[in-house]
Amino acid sequence: MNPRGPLTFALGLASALALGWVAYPRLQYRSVEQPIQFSHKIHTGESVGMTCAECHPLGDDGRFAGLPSIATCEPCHTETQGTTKNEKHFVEQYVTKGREVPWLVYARQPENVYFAHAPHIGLAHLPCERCHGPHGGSDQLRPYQENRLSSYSRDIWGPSATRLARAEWEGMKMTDCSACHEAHGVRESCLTCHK
Amino acid sequence: MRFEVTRRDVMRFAGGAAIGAALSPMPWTLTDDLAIWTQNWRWIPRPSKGERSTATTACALCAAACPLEANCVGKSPIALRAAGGAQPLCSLGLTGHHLPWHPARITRPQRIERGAARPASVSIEAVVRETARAMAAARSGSGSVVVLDSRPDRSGSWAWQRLLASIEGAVVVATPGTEGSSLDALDALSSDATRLTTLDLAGARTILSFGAPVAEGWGRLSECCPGDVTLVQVEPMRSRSAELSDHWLPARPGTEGVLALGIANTLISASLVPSSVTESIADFAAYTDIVARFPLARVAAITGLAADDIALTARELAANGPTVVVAGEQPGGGPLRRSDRVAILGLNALLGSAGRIVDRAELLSPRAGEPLAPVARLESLPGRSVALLVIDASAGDVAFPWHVVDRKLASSALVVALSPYLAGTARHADFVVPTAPFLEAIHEIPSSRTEAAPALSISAPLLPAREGAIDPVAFVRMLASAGQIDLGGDWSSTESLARERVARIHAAAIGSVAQPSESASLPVASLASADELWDALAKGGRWTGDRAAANPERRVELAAGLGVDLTREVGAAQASDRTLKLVPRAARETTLTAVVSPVLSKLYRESQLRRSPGSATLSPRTAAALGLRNVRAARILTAGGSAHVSLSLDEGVMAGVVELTVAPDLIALGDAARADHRMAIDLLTPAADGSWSSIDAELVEG
Ligand code: SF4
Repeated sequence: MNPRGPLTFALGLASALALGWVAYPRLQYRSVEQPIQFSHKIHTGESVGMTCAECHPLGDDGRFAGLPSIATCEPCHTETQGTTKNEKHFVEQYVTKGREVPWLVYARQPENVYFAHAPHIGLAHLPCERCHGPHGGSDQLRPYQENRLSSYSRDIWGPSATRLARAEWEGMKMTDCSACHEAHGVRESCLTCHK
Repeated sequence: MRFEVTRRDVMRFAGGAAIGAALSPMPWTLTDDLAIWTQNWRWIPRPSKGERSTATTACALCAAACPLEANCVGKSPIALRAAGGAQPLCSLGLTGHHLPWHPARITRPQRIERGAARPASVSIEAVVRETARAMAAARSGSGSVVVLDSRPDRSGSWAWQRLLASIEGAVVVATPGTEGSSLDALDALSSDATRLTTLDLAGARTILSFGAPVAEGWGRLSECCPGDVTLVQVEPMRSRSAELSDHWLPARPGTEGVLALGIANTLISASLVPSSVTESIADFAAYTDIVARFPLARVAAITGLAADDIALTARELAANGPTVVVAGEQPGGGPLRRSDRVAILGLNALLGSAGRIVDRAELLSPRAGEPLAPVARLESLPGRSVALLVIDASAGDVAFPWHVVDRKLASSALVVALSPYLAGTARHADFVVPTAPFLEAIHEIPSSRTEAAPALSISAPLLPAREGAIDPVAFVRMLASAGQIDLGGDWSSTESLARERVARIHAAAIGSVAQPSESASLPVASLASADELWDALAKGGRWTGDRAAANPERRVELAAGLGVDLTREVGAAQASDRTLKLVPRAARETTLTAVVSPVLSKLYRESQLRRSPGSATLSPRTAAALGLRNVRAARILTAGGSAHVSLSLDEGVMAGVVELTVAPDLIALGDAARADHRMAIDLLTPAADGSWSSIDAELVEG
């Protein structure tokens, strides 16, 4: 049998598999570094001992206050804490100048989604880790990955291209929200999240 | 060694690559990303960002005027819900804040040339010039001028009447199928034809509804009959009101009047009509003669209902009074035949509810003592007599077959529509003037024909009006100035006229305002200024005035208004054994508006929770009899034309009946308008009295 036929076929197969599994996932997202590095681990660890809610509180009206403003950091960071380059940059460029840090938010939902933290934390008593995973214990901020076509954060689809064998907090697509709602017997309608 | 790439190599490589690609996540993630990419094009509106706030106003999308609270971000409403303890908003109201961004929205005047692929933008001056020319021609006798008003009694309606007062024969007519228009038949019962009558629904314990979507918001019945009310719904199809009723009587389409006479027969023969009632009926003997021709067995055979059910219903109506019998507009099906309505509404007199047929107190107009063109009924206009038709759909639309109006138009008639959308009735116009939709402008919601007391709500804008939107009252002014008609006064906008009306109500110190979050109503006399009254209304309050004084002299005539078709034989022979009764079907909220939200669009087109436009449903038995059991696509033929429909089978549909989904149409759901777009509702050929609630049709494969 002339092996040329199967070989050509295999070559096509291998090229497409390589493209689909290796090259495309890299091309799909562009990586952007966060403006500065930040260690959640130091802040939530034993030495500082802060909780998530101290920097990301729910407002009086039940609304999630989002990212902490520079005013939240100021009391401890008017002077540099430690000797890292990052800390020096943070204090000089942001705290001293009163500028907000333009963080890139991994979990930012697209504009057509209105997500309310209040019912999830206040009523459903979900821990932050249910959706954000071990982010609160991270020592480094990974690069923010933005989908080149949809401009969504990679965290919406989740880190795995196949979405198989994921941890429960990996992925924030509508189907993920619905699956959790269904599992908890929570009724939903289109207008719950899309206004 | 030379390696030559052959065509076969390319094919093998491509085959391997195709399989390899399918085994990788690439095509699946790419499809997802591309779908999202198409949702994020530059021209797709984005929710604004900014401070969160709430605002209260009234929903202007139907006559129910539900008070609503809007959650706003950056001054744009992002969610609507019922204000205070009011009843929940319907799906149209709940998604009302999406409508200003509907794809069919227009902000420039449009000219729709017959046969042209697309409408063209024109200047407002050109529209005014052409309309004024047609008005001038009508004044010199070339035909009449008619304004079709989808929400009568607004200040905008008054402005049209004021303009038309100077044109001989010009009239304002309510858009066919406007809610409450079925009650016009009450006037045929009253011995005093000079007064407008309606039904007093307050305190009723039983409601017998013939086709009125009472459980879907029709006629504000929920407010009128608090507590324990029994609803008996007569309707050939399993509508939402039928589902929610205590008893559903699925009478064959077109036999509702006969059923009413059958009920009357039982009431009279079982001596359930008190003598005090018979004395208030001027022609009781003649009526009894007619009714005697409708014994239960015959009525049962005609309507398809069991004789026992009819008798039981009649007894329950008499025993569980006060009873009100309403004939309403089936969503998409408009009013029943006039003679049917007379027979139905006449039951009110027979059930001792003569006091319930009351004079309808009129709402104060914005200005007193000015000449106004009369309000007429469309059926009363001679065929082919209208030279200029203005469709004022600025306050909402009504789904009706265009033929109802078209047959009144002269061959060279000019049709001008005012609408925020190039959709609904406006699609039939030669020119469309863009107006501001709900939430972008002041909209008045006056009492409808179903209310005995005058009432008024104001829907205040929560969004800035988009550039290009024309105020309907300003358009009236432009026409007056182009036609050199002196309208007097300095009113120039809907708001200025509406404020004048509110000032008149305040000055008269009549009625009170029910506010969404307060349990007690606020008497108008307690408000210091007209501005205070305006503010209370603009925040979702509803002003209600005094009812007309009881009219002890009123006598009713029940026999005179019954049509020949009812008093003679009913149910003409079928044209052929393939002939079906076609009944239009729609949810109420989709027939009151030219467009619906994209959320509802998903519901209709993707979820199969609601029947999609252009779908026909019949029972498996009927399908088997027609040889259509396994057919999914069919053609429906009526005297009005033919159309392709998707066919589905449902045990709940009556034998011999085909239910056709007539609203929302594809444009309402957000599809681009095409010149050849045919609305399913236009298949319905109206009867001589303008009704189209059921017609003959055939279904063939293909
Ligand atoms: S459309 Fe009518 S019934 Fe629905 S919320 Fe608005 S006013 Fe109420």
